[in-house]
Amino acid sequence: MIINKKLELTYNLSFGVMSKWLTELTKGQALALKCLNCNNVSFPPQKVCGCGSKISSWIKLSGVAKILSKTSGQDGSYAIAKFEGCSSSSVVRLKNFKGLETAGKLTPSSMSNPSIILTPIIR
Amino acid sequence: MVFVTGYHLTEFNRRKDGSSYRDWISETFEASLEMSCMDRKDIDTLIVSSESDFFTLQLNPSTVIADDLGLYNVEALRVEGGGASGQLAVHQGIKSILSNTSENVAVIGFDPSASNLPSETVKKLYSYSFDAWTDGMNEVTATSLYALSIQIFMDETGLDENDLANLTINNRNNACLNPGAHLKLKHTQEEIINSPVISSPYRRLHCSPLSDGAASIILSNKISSKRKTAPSIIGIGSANDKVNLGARDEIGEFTSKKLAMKKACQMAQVLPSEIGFAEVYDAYAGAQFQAINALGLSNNFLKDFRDGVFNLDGKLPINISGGLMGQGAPVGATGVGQTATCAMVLEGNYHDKLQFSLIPKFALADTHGGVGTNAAVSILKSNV
Repeated sequence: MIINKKLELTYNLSFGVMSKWLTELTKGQALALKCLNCNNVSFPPQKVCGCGSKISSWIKLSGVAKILSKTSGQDGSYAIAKFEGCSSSSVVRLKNFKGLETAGKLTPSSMSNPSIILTPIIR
Repeated sequence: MVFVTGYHLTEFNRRKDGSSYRDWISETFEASLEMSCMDRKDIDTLIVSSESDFFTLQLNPSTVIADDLGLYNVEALRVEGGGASGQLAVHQGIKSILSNTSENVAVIGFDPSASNLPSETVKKLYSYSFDAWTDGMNEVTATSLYALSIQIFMDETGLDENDLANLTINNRNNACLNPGAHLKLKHTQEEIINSPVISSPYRRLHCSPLSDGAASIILSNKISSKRKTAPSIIGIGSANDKVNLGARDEIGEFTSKKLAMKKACQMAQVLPSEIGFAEVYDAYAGAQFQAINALGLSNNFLKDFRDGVFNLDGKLPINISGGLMGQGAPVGATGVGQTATCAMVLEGNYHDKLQFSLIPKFALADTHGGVGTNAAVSILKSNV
């Protein structure tokens, strides 16, 4: 016997201290956390820095990122990109990239799905 | 000392016979228990592993499984660590024995990854197994994240598309000799290179399948006269890396695996070069190369691969079961199944066409969750 059972779930998700970061993301603004001990800048923000410090402050990045590696296919287009002013890289979704672009700018995303989406900058 | 006194894997495939994961668990447990020459009353601890309640629609699975298996008044718990769930469950069993809190532990891994939900739904759920607030919101798939990692590894090492195709062929060829394997397929390079691009450089045939299945082992602190040749687990190690690929120091490397292997080798007092064969976590073709490199199984993995060192008849056979790519991947069962496979080979009980006539002394089972995010490895020793 096989039963088809449908389960619908509607979550009310809260994000605590990360709410600020996600809210800015929907506006196309890149907020990062800067460690006040070693000046490391993380985006997406890391609450505890690699140096062990949890004392940090929010800073605003330009939102421009250089693409280091990208992938595309049936599952969409994604990249590892390094945002200006950031110490590490991020996984980003690519929108409207044709294949030759090497940089992008953070673009606004939906309030229901705050995402790190880049649109191309031709340099 | 910890002995693997019983071991078994069900078939890994897409079940179409109306059977349930609870049937597969019963099948694998009863076979392991019989092999261990013990009675169910001898089992004092039940550790189960599965990746997600979404697949089974059963929260707190260890309790219903204990009931199904007739295990009462035992310690029953579930271990979860993404793709590494099964191997971490094995580790938990070993720790229970080494801490003298258990004598005989049943470790059972399972997942109905193929038949209970549509594959598109499973794919979507998997995207929440990375950071749900970043990667999850971006709707990035596991394949895309693995693809970003392997691209960097390929740039750094010279690994190319032909190597990905050849490894796929090797693993699926091995699977053809494994009666319990999911994808018993003979591929050509052309077929692989012309299969659809899921996330470059990964094509459909470079990916492991979603499978149904279960696997089990019985771990014991001593062996009876009937189980004198039961293999032992002499080293375990586990470590993590940052979930966010971009935040890692080495995006193309499985750094967590290096550390896990170092810990396991230290515990076992064994060098990576002493490992005689290995079952490694090949969720994608490239991941097997990343694993071999990180585990230190070769000083020049690419040359060794191209020279056939890791083939079934090579000096260091890897994934003789077919690996995840050929044998299949019911996630929670994978790590337990790899350990069971190592135990079978080390006791001379593996499938006829895959069993080595000269039994190696040491074997390695290597598993990870995420894109090498949490790694767990075990080193087994033959007592034949």
